[in-house]
Amino acid sequence: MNLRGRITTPLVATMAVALAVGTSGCSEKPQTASERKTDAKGWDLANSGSLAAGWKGGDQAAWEQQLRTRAEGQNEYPRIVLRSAPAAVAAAASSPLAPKTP
Amino acid sequence: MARMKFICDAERCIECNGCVTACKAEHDVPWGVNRRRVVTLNDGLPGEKSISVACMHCSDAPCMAVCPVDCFYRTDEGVVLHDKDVCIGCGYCSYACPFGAPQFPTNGTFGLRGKMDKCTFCAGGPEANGSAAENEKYGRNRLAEGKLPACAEMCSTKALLGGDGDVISDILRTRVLQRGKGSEVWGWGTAYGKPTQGVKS
Repeated sequence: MNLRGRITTPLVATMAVALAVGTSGCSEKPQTASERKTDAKGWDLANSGSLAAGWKGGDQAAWEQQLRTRAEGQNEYPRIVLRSAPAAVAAAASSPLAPKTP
Repeated sequence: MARMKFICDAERCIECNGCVTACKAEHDVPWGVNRRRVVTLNDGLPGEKSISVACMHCSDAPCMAVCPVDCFYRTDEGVVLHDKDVCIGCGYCSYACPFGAPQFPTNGTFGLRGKMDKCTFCAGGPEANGSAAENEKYGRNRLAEGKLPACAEMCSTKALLGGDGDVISDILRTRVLQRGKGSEVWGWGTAYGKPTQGVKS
């Protein structure tokens, strides 16, 4: 190998390696979707200092009952109207539009 | 378990914005983002009506349908939640939502748009219930604590009802049966006059 060959061969090899390394940044990144997180069940909270009074975390049935009781607590009629006008409430209850759920 | 829903009774809402404030305070919602708002129709006119609006946790949610990265999911209780780690902040959900529920935090002169934020029915997100990570991204998870959304529980007139759809619809039905409709509604005559007032015989 002559002098010119001895100089250009490593130069070409170096350039080839540099080109390969340089263009590798242009290749596509893997596009696999990250694993979807699954949310815990709503009642699954065993340790918290903020649990509603009278309810123990981690019990599904108790949790559902707790939420139902709280939702029913938004109805002020049992506290107010039943005391003042029981006849009106009875009339409303016997109406065909009265709620059918227990 | 029935589906969790909100109902706002327009006859009772007094536009106090207590629900908005409760939500902001409970979840440390950033400036410019309103997960809940009070909308008033015919403001200042007799018969004006106000209604508190947030995510309605639709059974067939349009935001879920249009999301290109499928970041939404629905819990067993029918609460529509989203994963902020998956959200790309494109805003499609805000175009699809008929209630304007999806909100985008902005900052800077050119309004850099962040990841979507919306009402969670106080049920947090996909992180572990009650964890610091969940609190940081989505606010407090009251539902897991056995409590209802702060907005509904704070409503002073109980115009905003939240909880099991069957229960709260029964409450509203009882009210409507009790108070009647139109000018029969309690307080209407005091505020706006009875239908016979002002009529010259």
